[in-house]
Amino acid sequence: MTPNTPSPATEPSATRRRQRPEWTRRFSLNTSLREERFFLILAVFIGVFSGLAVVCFRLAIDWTRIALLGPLPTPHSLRLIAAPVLASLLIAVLVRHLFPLVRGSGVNQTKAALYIFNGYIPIRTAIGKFITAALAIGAGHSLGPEDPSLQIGATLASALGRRMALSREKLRLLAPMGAAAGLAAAFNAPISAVLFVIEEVIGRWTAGILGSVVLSAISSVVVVRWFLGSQPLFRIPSITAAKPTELFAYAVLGLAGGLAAVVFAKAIAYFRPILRSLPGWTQYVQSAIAGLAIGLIGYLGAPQVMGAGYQYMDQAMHDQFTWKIWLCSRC
Amino acid sequence: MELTSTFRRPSMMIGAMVLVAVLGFLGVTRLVHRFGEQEKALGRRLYRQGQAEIAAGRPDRAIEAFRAALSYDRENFEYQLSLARALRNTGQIEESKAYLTSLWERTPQSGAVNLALGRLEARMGSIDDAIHYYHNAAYGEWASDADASRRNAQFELIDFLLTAGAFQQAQSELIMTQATLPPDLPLQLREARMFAHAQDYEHALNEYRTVLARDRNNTDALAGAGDAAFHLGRYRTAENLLQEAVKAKSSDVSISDQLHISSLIVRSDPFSRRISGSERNRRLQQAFPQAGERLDKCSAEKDVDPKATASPNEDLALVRRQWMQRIWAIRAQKSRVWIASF
Repeated sequence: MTPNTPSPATEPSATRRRQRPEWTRRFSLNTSLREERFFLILAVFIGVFSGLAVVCFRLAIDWTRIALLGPLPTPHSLRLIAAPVLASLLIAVLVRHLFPLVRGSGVNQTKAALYIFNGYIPIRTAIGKFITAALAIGAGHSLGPEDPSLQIGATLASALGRRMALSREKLRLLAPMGAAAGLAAAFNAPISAVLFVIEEVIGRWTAGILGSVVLSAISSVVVVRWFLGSQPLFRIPSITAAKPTELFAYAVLGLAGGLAAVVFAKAIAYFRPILRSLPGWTQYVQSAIAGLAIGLIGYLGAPQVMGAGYQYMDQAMHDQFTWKIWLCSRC
Repeated sequence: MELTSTFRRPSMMIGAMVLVAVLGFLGVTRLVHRFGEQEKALGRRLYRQGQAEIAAGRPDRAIEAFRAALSYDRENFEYQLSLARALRNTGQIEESKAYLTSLWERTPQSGAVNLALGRLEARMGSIDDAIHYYHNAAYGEWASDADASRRNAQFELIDFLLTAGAFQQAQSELIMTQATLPPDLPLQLREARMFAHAQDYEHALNEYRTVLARDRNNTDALAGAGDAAFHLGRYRTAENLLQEAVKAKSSDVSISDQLHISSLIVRSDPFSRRISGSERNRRLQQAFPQAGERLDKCSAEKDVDPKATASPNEDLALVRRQWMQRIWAIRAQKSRVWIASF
């Protein structure tokens, strides 16, 4: 067979290639892309979209905070009480009537989506989480943007997967990728986000998804740094260990932190069913009481506890930590 | 083919995602820019508020304002530097150092940052680090009036060294500064005073004389030069200079006292070249027993063992032994003269 004589088996495709323009043939991915490669590309886009969403989310939080609490919150200002109370009432209305799925922890909801709903998270959840979390944090509730960012990222990834008509199996893998991207963007720390998602959301080390999760986390952080700068959240002071026995102090600190975290988590687990068992209308009151409590703490002299509190955590690392702030933040 | 069934048109999908990403980037860029401008304006307002609080003597409130300003413009050099200074002035050293170190990593050549770090290290008592940063400040970049800023950094370092008692290092710094000092009377006077403080009286006297060459009636220079000459043991020069100073500023008791001491020393100096032989003998006869009395008194006060050869007051014991030997020699000489007279 001469080179110019195509075989009967290859003839139809060769004819098609001849019929298509040269550039289309060259750039066509239909035949060259493997599923894994496409997944990696998709991971980058999930990271980019999550990064963009988290940038908007952080802008929304900052804008709300300035609008509601003012540029420099000072104690004994009535807006410190009014803003969280009114915002809480509005959030209660939104959650009860428009976005019922945004209630609770984003990590748990992402896990539920992964293991129960085959990676399906409705896009409405991301919108609701974005609005209510921005409002709550901006109004001074002592919350962080990490959990909502994680959920927003996971929801965007899920929505993207559905739009591409991916199989259930692939759709399930997208949610953790989005979660890692959202968390990495919120913390400006891709490695921590990858570890967190693998340990907390996926629950086991899976080599197959690791590459995609890392890619999405890194691309989201690149996007966030592009827009918001690369300064770390905290300025870590220089620490020198004078003697090895100091390590015991760190061990004690770790134990104390772990214990406090357990108590905190148990308290949430204890109160949640009790509060949810109360009549529906009380949820407005519950929310308003939470807002009033945080507002009063701010009003009485500790506006530091209002909002995400990164700035004050940073001060705490430089000998500015006081038991007062710590206790208030736990309340 | 599984791939084809799952991703029917991957190229189209990727194209669509690229398009959405580009549009998203454009939209978010616009949003960030607008919000950033708003935040920067807020930052400027809060920074001015912080400066006003500093001027009003309320550093704690200033810190809050600077912190808030920095939260709206995290990369701003001025806000960070002002916050670090305010923190340092209120004793929050660690946090101040963290801000300054972060600034120094960004602009290691900045004179202002190095000066702030130098002051911080000086406050912490780290002489070597303070010298390092003050030197950087003295040779660093300054936004305005660079020469004066550099000179001030050098003088501040010298002040710090003098306060810390590091006179040798202060003298070295002063000699380096002297070479670049402009012909400015207040600056030269300051330099001369610093030389005197560093116990380098020779350089101090020269610097005072430089001032006096341009302004011979400068009372401060006359008094300072007199004091330097006094410490150098040039009592006659000191007396002359101090007399001039007293004429110009008779109200200053310390100058009068020093003049009085100088005059006493000059009048009782047996080694003066301008006195007769009999006057020299008289002064010697008066001074020698006085020296003995003072040595005895001092030895008694310090409980000095005259035979001790290794003690904290070894020098005093040695001088006292020498004085005793001399007095015995004089008495022996007197006895020989008395016997010879018969």
